[in-house]
Amino acid sequence: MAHNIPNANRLAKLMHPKSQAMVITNVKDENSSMRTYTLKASDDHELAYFSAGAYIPVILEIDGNKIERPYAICSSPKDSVNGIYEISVKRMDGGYVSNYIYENWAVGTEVTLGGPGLGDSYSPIRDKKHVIGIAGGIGVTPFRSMAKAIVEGDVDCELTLIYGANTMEEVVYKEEWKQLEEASAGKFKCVLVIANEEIEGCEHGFVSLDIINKYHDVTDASLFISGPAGLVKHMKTILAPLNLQKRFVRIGMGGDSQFAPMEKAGQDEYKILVHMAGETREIPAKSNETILVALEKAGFVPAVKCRSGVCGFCRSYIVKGEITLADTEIAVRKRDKELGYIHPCCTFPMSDLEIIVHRG
Amino acid sequence: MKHYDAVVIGAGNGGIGTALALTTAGVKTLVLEKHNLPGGCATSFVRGRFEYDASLHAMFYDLLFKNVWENQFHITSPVTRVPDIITVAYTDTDGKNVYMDLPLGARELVMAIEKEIPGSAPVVQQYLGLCGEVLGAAKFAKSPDFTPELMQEKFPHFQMLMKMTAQEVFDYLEMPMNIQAIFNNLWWYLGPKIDEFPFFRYAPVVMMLVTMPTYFPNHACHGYLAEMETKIRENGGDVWLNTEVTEIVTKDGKVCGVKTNHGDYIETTQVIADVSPRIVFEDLIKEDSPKKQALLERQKDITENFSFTIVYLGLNKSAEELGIKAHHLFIADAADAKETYEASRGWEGPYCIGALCPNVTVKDFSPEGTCVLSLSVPMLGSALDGMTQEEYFKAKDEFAQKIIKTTGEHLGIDLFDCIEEISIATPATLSRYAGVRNGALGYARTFADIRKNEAATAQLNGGNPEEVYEGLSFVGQFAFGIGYQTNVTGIPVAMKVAQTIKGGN
Ligand SMILES: Cc1cc2nc3c(=O)[nH]c(=O)nc-3n(C[C@H](O)[C@H](O)[C@H](O)COP(=O)(O)OP(=O)(O)OC[C@H]3O[C@@H](n4cnc5c(N)ncnc54)[C@H](O)[C@@H]3O)c2cc1C
Repeated sequence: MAHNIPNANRLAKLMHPKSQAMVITNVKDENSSMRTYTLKASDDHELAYFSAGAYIPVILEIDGNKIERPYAICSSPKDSVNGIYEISVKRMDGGYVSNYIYENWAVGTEVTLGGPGLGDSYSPIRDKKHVIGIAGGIGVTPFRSMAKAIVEGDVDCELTLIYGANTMEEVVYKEEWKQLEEASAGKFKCVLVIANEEIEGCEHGFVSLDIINKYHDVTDASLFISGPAGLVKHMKTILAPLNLQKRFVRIGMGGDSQFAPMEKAGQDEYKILVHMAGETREIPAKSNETILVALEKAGFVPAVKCRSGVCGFCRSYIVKGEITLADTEIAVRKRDKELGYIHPCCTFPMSDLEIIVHRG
Repeated sequence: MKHYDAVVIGAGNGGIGTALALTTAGVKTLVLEKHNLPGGCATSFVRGRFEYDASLHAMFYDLLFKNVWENQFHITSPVTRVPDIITVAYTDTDGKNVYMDLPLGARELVMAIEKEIPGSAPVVQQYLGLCGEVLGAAKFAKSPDFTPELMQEKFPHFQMLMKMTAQEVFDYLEMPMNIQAIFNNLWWYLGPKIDEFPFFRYAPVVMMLVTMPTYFPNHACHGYLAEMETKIRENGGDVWLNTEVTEIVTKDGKVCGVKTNHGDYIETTQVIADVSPRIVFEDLIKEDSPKKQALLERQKDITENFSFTIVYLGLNKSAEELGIKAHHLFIADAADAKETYEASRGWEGPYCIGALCPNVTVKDFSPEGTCVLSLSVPMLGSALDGMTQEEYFKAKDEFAQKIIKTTGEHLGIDLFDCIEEISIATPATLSRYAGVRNGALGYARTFADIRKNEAATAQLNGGNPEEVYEGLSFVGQFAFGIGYQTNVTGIPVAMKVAQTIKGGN
C-alpha cells in the first residue's frame, strides 16, 4: 500500500541499505600489489553517506558461495554525495577474496556493496583538534578519506599522517598526499617513514616516538593507528610508557588477517554441527581457522560484517563444545559471554562443537 | 514445508516475553527478528570498553519482573535497586540554574523541596496528595469493597481530576512555575504536551518516579533478553535472527503463514506481532478486510508520539569522581514544560534531558574508573524533515555538543574533559530499530487521542475477542498503547494462544 515515508525513516533506509548496486568506472594500480577501484551507483540510487574512517562490505559470489568482506572506504564522504565510493584492494598470498577481486574486477564490472559500517572516525566532541594517524600497509586507506574530508571541509581537524613502509615502492597515493597537503592550508601533512631505504624528504627506520614528536607532540593529539598486527603491537609497546588516556588512542579493526594463524589454537581438526534457520549440517573445522571461515568454506552464508570481533553482527550461540578467542579486543557482551554467545569471526574451535548461527 | 504452532514476529521485549511464555506452555514456537540480536528498542551495543543499554531508564522489579520472570519463568539475570535519590536541575523563570538532589518518598520529598524552596511544602504536599488520589482511586475501583458512594467519600477529587489536564492541576493549586518545574518536565515519559496531558495518566508517572523503588538490570536489558532467548530454545522453540517477515499470509480472514526476506514460507495458524499494527496492516497483510480498513482509518489522525535523540557517553572517570549522585537526573533548560515540548520539534532547545548514569546503581556497569552517561532528549521525528544525509550527520554532532554542554552546566561537570566514547541515536535510529514511522514511541494519548483511539487500541490488544484476522494478535508497546514494562504485555496473549492451540481450533 502506498503511503508517504517520513524523512526519519527515509534517512534510516538510505544510511543502512541492505545492498547497493554499483558499477566499476575506474581501476588504478597504486603499486605492484594494490589497486584502487572507483564505483558508481549502477542504478543512480543515492549512496549511503558515512564518516571518514568507515568501511563498506563487498558482497561477492565466488565458486557459488556468497561471501562478504569489509573494505575501508578511501574516498571522501563528499565523493559519496557525488555518487562515488572508492576502495583500495591489496593482493595477498592466498588471499581468497582479494585475489578474486584482482583477477575479476575491471571497468564495467557490476558489484554489490552493503551499507557502510562504523570504523574509527574523527569526533569533534571526543578528539583533540590534532590527529596523528599512524598507518602501515593497507591500513593507510582510511586516512586518504580523512585527509580528503579535511580538505573538503567536512572534518574540522588537523591530521599528521605517519605512514610506515618497507620500501618506497610500497607507498601508495604518493602524488595525492602531496596534492592534499597543498590544498589543506597546513591542516594535513603526510610523513613517510621508510624502513629499508634512505630517501630524501622521508624519515628512515621504524615509526618511533622521536619521529612522531618531530612533527607533532604525541601527548597533545588523538592517535588513530591502523595497520598490520606488527605495527599495532609495536605502537602499543612504544606508547605504553606515556600512559595516554584510552580516549586518545584508537586502534583500527584488523579484519581476518589479525587472527591467523592463531598459535594458541594449534592444528587440530574438529567437526561442527551447525543449525541455521531450520537447516542442520555437520561441517569440518580446524582449530587455527575461525568458526566463520569454517562455515563459509562449507557453503554457509552466515551473518557477518566487520570480521574483527567488533560489530557483533555475527553473534551466534554455542550449544556445546570448547572454544578459544583471539587475543584482540572482542566486543562480546558480558552477559552473552556467560550464556555462551560468541562472535564466530574471532572464535576458534577447541573441540567438536554444536552451534546455532544466523543467515546473512 | 516448515510448520510451527505459533510464529512471533519481532524479538523486542514484547515478542521475547510472549515466546518464552508460549514455549513454557509447550507451544512449538518460532521467533523471527529482522535484527541480529533480540531487543528491538531495548537493544544494547558496545563501543570500545563500554556496553550501553539503548533505552531502559529503570524498571519496577517488584511488581513485574520478580513476580513474573523470576518466580514463574526462573530468569536469573541479576537486577540492582536504584538508590533512593533523584537529581532535578532546571533553569528557573529568572534564568537561574537550580540543582537539587531529592530523596525518594512523598514525605521526604516535601521536606527536601521545602529546604530548597522555602514555603513550598503545602503546595507540594497537596500536589502529591492529588497524584496519590488518582492511584488510590484506580486501585479501589477494582476492589471488592467498591461502591460509588465510598469512592466519592475516600477520593473526593477523583471525579474532577479525571477531567483535568496535568497543567490544569498545577493551575488549580496555583503552584508557582518554579515548583511546577520539578514535576512538569517529566512529560516525555509518556508524550503529550503538559496542557493536553490527561492528569490521570500523568499522576502515576510522578508517583512512580518520586515514591517507588526502581531497579536496573546489571547487564542491561540485553542480559535478561539473551537469557530468555536461550530459554526459548531450551524449551524447544526456535529463534531466527536476521530474518525479516515480509508478509503475513491470510486466507478468508484467517492467518495461514508468514513469508520472510530469505524466501522462507512458514506455515502457522497463530501469528503474534510485536510490531505496530499500523505497519502490519499497511505493509504485511495483503488481504483486504473492512475491519482492517476501519481500524486504519481510526488510527490515521491520532497524535504520533515523540521519539528521542540520545547521546551515549562512555566517560573515563567514575560517577563518584564526577560527583554524579543519582541514577536519574532530570535536566531542563526551562521551567515551563510547554517550552521544552515545543522545542522537541526541532534542534535548538530549550532542552529537556533525561540523563541516566547506570553506574550509580550497578557499580561495575562499565570498567573501574569509568562510567556510562546517556542523555535522552525528546524529539519529534519531524525534526529531521527535509534533511539530507550529509546535513543529518552534521546536525547530530552539533546537537550532541549542545546537549553535553547543557548537561555539564546544570551538573557542574566538565564532561568534555572525560569523553572516551560517544554515540548518538536519533528518531531515524529508533525508526530503524522498531520499524515505526518517525521513530515514534507509541501514541501520544492526549485527551483527544484517547477518545478517538481507545476503542481501536483496545481492539488491537491481543486479549480482545473481536479479532481483525483470525489467528493474529499483537503484543508490545503498540498493542499495550504504552512503551513501558512491555516485556509482560505478551503473557495474557500467550496464554490465550496456547489455549486456542491446545483446544484444537
Ligand atoms: C530512550 C528510551 C528510553 C526508554 N526507557 C524505558 C524505561 O525506562 N522503562 C521501560 O519500561 N521502557 C522504556 N522505554 C520503552 C521500551 O524500550 C520499549 O517500549 C520496549 O522496548 C518496546 O518493546 P516492544 O517489544 O514493544 O517493541 P520493539 O522493541 O519495537 O520490538 C519490535 C521488534 O520487532 C522487530 N521487527 C519489526 N518488524 C519486523 C518484521 N517485519 N520482521 C521481523 N522482525 C520485525 C524489530 O526489529 C524489533 O526487534 C524506553 C524507550 C526509549 C527509546
